[in-house]
Amino acid sequence: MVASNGSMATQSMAHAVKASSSSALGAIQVEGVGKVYPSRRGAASIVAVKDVSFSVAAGEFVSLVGPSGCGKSTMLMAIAGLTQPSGGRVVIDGQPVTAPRRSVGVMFQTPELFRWRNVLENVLLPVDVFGLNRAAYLERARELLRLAGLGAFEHAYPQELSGGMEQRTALCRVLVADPSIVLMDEPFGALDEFTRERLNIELLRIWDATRKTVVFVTHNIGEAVFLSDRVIVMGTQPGRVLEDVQVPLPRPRTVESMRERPYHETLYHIRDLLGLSH
Amino acid sequence: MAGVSAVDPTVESSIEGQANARAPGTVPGSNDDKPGLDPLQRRWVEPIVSLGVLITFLLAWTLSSQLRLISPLVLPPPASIATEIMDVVRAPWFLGDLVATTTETIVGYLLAAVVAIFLGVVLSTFRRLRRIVYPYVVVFQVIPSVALAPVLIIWLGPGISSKIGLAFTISFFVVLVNTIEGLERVPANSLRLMTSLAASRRQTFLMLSLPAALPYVFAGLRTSATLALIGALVGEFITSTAGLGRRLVEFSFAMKADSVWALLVLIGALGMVLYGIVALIDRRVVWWRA
Amino acid sequence: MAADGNGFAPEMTTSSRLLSPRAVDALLTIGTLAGLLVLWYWANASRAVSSLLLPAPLAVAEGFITLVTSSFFYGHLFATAFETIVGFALAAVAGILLAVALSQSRFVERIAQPYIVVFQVLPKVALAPVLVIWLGFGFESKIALSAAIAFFPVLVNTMKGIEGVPANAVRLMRSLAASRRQVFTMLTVPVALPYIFAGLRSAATLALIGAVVGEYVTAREGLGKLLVTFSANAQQPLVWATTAVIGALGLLLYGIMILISRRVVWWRA
Repeated sequence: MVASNGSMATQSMAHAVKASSSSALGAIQVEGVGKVYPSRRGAASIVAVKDVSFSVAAGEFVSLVGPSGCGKSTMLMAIAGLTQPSGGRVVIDGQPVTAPRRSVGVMFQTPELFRWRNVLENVLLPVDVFGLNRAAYLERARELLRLAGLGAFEHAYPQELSGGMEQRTALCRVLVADPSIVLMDEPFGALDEFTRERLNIELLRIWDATRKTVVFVTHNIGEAVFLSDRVIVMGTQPGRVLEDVQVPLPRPRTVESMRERPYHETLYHIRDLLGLSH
Repeated sequence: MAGVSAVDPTVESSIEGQANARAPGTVPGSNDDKPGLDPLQRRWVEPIVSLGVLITFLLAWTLSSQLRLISPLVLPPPASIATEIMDVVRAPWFLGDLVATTTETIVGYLLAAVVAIFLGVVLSTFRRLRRIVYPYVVVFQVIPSVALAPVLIIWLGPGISSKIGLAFTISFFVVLVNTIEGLERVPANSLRLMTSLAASRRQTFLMLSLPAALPYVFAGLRTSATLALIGALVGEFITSTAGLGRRLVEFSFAMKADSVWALLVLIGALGMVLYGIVALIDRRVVWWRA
Repeated sequence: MAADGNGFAPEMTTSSRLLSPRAVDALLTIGTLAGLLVLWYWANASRAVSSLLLPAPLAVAEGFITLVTSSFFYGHLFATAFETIVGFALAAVAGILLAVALSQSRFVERIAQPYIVVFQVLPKVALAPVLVIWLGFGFESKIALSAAIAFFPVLVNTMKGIEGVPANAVRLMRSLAASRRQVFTMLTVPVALPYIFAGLRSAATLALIGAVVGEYVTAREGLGKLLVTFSANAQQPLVWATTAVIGALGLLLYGIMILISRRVVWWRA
């Protein structure tokens, strides 16, 4: 598996990926966004999200945390242009979001690798869809795979990969066309705790180097605190922002960061906000 | 979403279609406690026992024929069927009848496949149209298409066309329903991924929906390969100018038991060959299926 | 699709309408049928299509009334229904029993597998003429054909269902020191039932096909025989009416199977 070449590999991955990303684009403003699902047959309509506002600066790592039904995924999909808010708007780099755009990459909880494409071809999917020249991106895709510890697997098919390897492939896929914003919808939620932690550390190293804007949805508070500059804590009925929490942990963060006092203080502050007794 | 009843027919056909695709070495739960063989034993023992069962069966059959337990008018011994097969194959009429039945089957099948896949794509592209038309599709899939044989003979004549028509009718709906079903079952998150990449409808269809639906389409194509042959044979039973089905009825009424059984074996072989070809193409095209 | 809390529900307009979109589509479905009837009527009235190929709707309706008011019709209907139901019942019982028996031993099951696959693919209707020789012109040969055709979907689906019992559920039952019998009745049967009913539903249609094809070849009575006779006498309206009756019978059988399966495996949806 990939564990052995973990930290060294990702460090150099960081360098490789850094070279290709240059712009300071990727600022997000969410302005009073609401989402109402119309009812059927006269029942009350469902207010999924009500009047949510926050902003994410270019290069910032922000997590959305909250219980099921708080609308955190709805917010992510609104930023991605995959769903239209019923009220308010989302603005990216000064332009309101009306449809999905190339500069925004999305990673889902399930890897969604295509069984008829091998690992390399799966990573190149955005390149194919964007009508870019495959040859121009081949090296970058290979580099990403190599540094994600999947160098030996580029010709393997998704059926042959473990869950963690599948999500690594999906991570390479979202990065291959160099988006300025990466939206992640509980990407490691289906993985076991060990794999999840390893991938979190790798993700941070990559982010440290590329400084892409990341919006990360999770229901794992520890994961959110460890990864993020800010954690936006959301509540239910209706989905709304409870508090925008700064994470006072210095970067770069390592596993050791999780032993530090600010980590625990932030974690318990968020637990209190969400009404989790301890 | 369509009603449960509307979806059901395909579930069956896909269940049937995948029935023989059992992964070796997987032990399903209910069989946990059963005495298992290690893989090596399995590789040798099972085919040998399987073959042994067949040989024992043939011997018992021969023996009961010789002891006159079974009348040779009802079931001739295997040896005489085997000799008769050689005679039938060499008979001057055989090639013509074989070509007739095979042509009817293949032409009807291919027409059905092309039209059904095309229509399936159209119907799942225009969802509104699909909702309006689908009840009829379900009805036609459930009613026995062989009942249309006489009507088709009136329309298309006693020759080859009416059998092509019946082969077409009988195999059409399975492919249509499976195609629609396959396109319907493309994972929602995969579609969202394509949307997030701002993929065009065409790109989404070619890169995702079509390959994702292919296993279902081929499950339908496998089932309908057998059905097309049935259509051709039933058509020939009623009226025809040529074909193995007609010859079978003729021999039956002439009480030529040897020839009837020889023909049955040959028709069975034809069915196996046709199915085998489709299964082979399936494996080539949808190689990524588990 | 309902609002799933993730924000992916299809966008809908909230404007109030007289009819829901579903109702409109249902009306359009019926409208399509009405349109086809009008087209059919027009095709005959304008002599665009010969009434030999396609008799006028009214002629078919008359044919249908002649048929159902005739003295001979019910005997034929009963014969076909009887053959179908008995053939179906035989196939169902034999298919389920054999599947249960085979699944008792993994080894036997694997030995039987290639034969099942081969026989499943063979065109069983080819047996029709042979069965007539063996069992005579009466209903026995049709029942046999019916059962032969309907048998395999039941067998294969039951085996599939039994195989689909989750390993952990079996472990749970074992941890409760359940007997083999208890595992079978409390776990295997309920898990396999949806599959069995899927098989029975196909089998119902196939049993009818078997009966009709058997009657095509030779028969004293039955809708298939009626159909061939009308067709030979060029009684076009009666051919169409009989075809419709067979279709209706097929729908009825399938409908009954759906109803029963909804009652029995109510937890499936």
